[in-house]
Amino acid sequence: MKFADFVIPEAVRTDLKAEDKPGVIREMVKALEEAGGIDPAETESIIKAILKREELGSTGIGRGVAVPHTKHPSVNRLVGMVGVSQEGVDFNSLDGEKVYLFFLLISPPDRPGDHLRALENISLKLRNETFCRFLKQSKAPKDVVQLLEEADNNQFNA
Amino acid sequence: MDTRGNEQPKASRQATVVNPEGMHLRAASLLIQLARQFQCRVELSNHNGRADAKTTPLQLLVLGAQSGDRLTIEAVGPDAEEAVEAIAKLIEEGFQEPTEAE
Repeated sequence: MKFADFVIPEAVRTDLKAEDKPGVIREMVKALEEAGGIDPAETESIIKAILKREELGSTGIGRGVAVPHTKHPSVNRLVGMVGVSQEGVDFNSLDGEKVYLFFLLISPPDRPGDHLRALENISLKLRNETFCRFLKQSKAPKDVVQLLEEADNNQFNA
Repeated sequence: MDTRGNEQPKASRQATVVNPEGMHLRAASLLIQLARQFQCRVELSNHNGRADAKTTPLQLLVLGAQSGDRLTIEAVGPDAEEAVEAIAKLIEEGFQEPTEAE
C-alpha cells in the first residue's frame, strides 16, 4: 500500500496548534472534514472513537511519531491525513518522547487488512531517518505531499 | 559475530498469528511491554524482515504480520527460554484481544 492510497492531500497540515492529545486529534479530524474526507455529521463520533482507542494504549510508535486511528462505519475506504506539530505534543508514547508527526487513519470496520498494510507502509518508510526528519521539518503541506510521493516512488530506501 | 566466551542461553520458537486483525499497533505495544519484562534480547522475524521486540512499535509494525503468518521469536540472555514461551503464548492467544469495545 502507498501513502497516496489513503492520505488525502488537502487534509495535510503542518501547523498543528494543539498542545494536548484531545486537542490535536480534534484538529486533525477537522482537517479531514474540511478536505471532504469524512461526513461532517460524523466528525464528533469519529473524534470520540479515536480518543477511546487512545485509552487502550497510546498510538505513539516511537521516534516522535503517532498513528491515532479508529474503525468507523461511516467510511467506505481507508482515509487518512498527515499532521505536523512544530512544538510537539505529549502523547504518552511508549518511549516517553513528544510527538511531532502524526498519521491519522480511519478505516471501515470490515477491512482490518488495509489498516495493517497502511501501518506497515508507514513504519517501513519511517525507518529511513532522512524521510522521517524531512517530514517533521516540513513547513507547508505541499512539502509533506511531495515527500510522501517520493517515498511512494521508493526514493527513500530503508 | 564472535561469540566465544559468551555462552548466553539462547531460545527460539515459532508462533502463528491467529487473531483476524494481525499484529496491529495495540498488539505490538502489548508484545513490547511483555518483552521488556525480561532481561534477554528478543527479536521477531518473518518473511518481511527482523525486528527488535523491546524498542518501539515502529520496529515491529514493519513486519506487517497478518493473521496466519508464522513469526520466529529468538531470545539471547539469562531468561531467554521464559521470554520466548511468554511471547509465543501472547501471539497464539491472539494478543489478548479485548472483546470489541463500542
